[in-house]
Amino acid sequence: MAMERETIVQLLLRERLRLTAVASAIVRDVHAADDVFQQVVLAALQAPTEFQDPGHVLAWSIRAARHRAIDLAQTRKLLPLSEDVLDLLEAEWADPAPGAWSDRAEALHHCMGRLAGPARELLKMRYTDGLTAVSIARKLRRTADAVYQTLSRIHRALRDCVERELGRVEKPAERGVS
Amino acid sequence: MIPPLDPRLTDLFVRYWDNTLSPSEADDLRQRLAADPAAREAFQFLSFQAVTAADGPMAGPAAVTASRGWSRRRVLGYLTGGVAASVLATVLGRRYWPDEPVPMVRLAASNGEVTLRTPDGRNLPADGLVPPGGMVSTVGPSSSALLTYPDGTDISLSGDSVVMLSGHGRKLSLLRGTATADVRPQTADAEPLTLTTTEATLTRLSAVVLTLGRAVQTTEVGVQTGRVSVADSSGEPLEVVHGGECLTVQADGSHRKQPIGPTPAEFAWDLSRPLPEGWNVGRRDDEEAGPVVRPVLWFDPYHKAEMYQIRSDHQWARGFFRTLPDTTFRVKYWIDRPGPSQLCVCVRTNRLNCSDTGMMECNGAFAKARPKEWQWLEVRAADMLENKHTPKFKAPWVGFLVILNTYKEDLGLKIAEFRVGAPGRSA
Repeated sequence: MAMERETIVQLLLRERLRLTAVASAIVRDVHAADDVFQQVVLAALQAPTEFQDPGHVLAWSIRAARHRAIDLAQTRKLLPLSEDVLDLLEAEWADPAPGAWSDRAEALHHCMGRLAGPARELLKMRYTDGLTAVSIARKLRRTADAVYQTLSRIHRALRDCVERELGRVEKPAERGVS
Repeated sequence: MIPPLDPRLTDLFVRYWDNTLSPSEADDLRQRLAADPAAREAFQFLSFQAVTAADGPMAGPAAVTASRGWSRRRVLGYLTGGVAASVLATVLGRRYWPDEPVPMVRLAASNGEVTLRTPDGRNLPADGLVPPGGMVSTVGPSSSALLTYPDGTDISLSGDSVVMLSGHGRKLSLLRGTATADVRPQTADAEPLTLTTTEATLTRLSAVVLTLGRAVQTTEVGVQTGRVSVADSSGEPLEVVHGGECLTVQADGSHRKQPIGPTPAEFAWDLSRPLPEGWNVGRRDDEEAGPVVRPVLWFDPYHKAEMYQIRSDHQWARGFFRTLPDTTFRVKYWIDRPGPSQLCVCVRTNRLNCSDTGMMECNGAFAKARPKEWQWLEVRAADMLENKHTPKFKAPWVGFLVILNTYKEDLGLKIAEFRVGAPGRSA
C-alpha cells in the first residue's frame, strides 16, 4: 500500500540531518545541502513514484540528494568523489537504523555545547559562515595550514567526545572539549 | 569499541571540504574510502559534524523538554533546522496546530500547469482560497498564477515557481522561480506582509512593486516603485532597495545592489571567467581550444525527467538581452553526434511588474549538425516563435534564462560562444 504524503514528510523531517549530511559530503556547503534537502522534500511530494515503506522513501531520498548535490558540485567545479566511493557511501547512508543517527546527533550537540569558545567560533566560521581556511586564516592572522590543523583536531576531539557520550569508549573524568 | 579518528583522514577531510586537495591527496582519500569501512564511517561522521555545527545553537536537546510554550517554528527549528523549518512548518501545516488562521489569500487566476496543494499534500482545484500552509506551484514557461489579497495586493508567479504560504497568507516563502508583487499601502495595524527565500527576507512590505526571483543559491530583488528593506536569512539587515534598483543576494550573505538600467540589445556569455554565481545547470571546462560549457544531467521539472541541459543563471529584473523579431542568436558549438536538441530562451515583457512569460525555441537545434567539429548555429528570434509556449505579448521580449537541452541523450555537446545581437552582427 502506498504511503500517505504526510507520513513521507514526517519521515523526511526525521531524516533531515542524515539527508543534509549526504548532500553536504558532496557539495561541501551546508546551506546548499539544506537547499538540496528542500528540493528533495518537494520532489518526494511530487514524485510519480508510490512509496511503499519508509526504507523505500529513505533510499529514494538519499539517491535524489546525491544526484542533486553532484549537479551542484559540478557547477561549482568541485573535485568529486569517485562514483565507486559514492556507491559505497550511499549503501551505508541508506542503513535504515534511525536510532544511531539521532543518538549521535544528541551526543554531538552536547559535545559542541562544551567546546571552548575559539573552537566553537572556528567551526562557526567554517561551516555556518562557509568561510574557506584561507579566509579564516586572514581573519585570525594565522596560516591556512594552522587553520586546517586546528579544524582537524576539533573534529577528532568531537568524535572522541561523542563516543564517550555514547559509552562506546571508557569514560574519563568529565571534561570540556578542545 | 570504535577506534578514534585517523588524523590523516581528518586532515584530508578538512581540505576536501575546502576543495584544496592535491591530486595525490585526492587519490589517497579515494583509496581510503574505497578500501576501509571504518574510513567511510568516519567520513560520514565528519560530514555530520559539519552539518550539526552549522545547524544552530550548540546546545543539548534537553532544552526542548525543559522549555514550555515554544513557538511552532522554534520547535521545528530544533527538529529540522532553521531554513528547512520555515518550509516544512508550512508543509506540516495545521493538522498539528489547529489554531491556524483562516485563509485570506485567493488563487484568482491561473494559466498553464498550476497546482494548489494543502499542507498534507492533497491537490485542490487551482482557484479559490489558499489554505494556511498551502503550496502553489506553476510549471512550464507559459504557466502563471495570480494570488490576491482583500486589500488589493496582488502577487503573481510565473514559469517554474513554487511558493508556500503561512499564517493568514501574509508570509510567503518563495522556494524557486519568480514572484511579482504589487503591494498596496498597508495601515500601521495591518499584519505585516513578508516575502522570504532561503537567502533573503523582505519584511513589512507596503506600497511597493517588486519582483523576487530565486534560482540556485541566489535571490534577486528588483524594485520598480517604492522601497523595500532586505535582510539576510538570519534577520540581519542587508540593504534598502529603492525603485529602479536590483539587489542580488548569495547564500553566503554576500550581496550586490545596482541600478536595473535598460536591458541591452546585444549580449554574449563571457566564458573566459568562471560561470556567474547562480548558474543553474552546466559545467565550464577549460579545453585546449578555449573554455566551453557542457550539459549536465539534471531533473527538469517541466519534462519531469532527467535530461542533459545547460541552464544559465536567472536574471528576471535586469534581463540578459532585449530581443526583436530580427534579433539573431549565434551559438558556436561542438557535438559528438547529432540528435534531438533545442535552444530555448525564456522571455518576459518589457515591463518589470508584469509576470507574463513565454518561450522562444529552436527545436532540433543540433539535429543536423556535422559531428565532431566546431560550427555555428544562427537563428532569428522570429523563427523561434512557433511553439506552444510562444510569448503572447508583443516585442520587445526580454530574455532572462537561456537553456540548451539534448534531452535524455548525452550528445557530447560543448558550447564555446553564445551571442545575441542584430542580424549579421556578432554582438
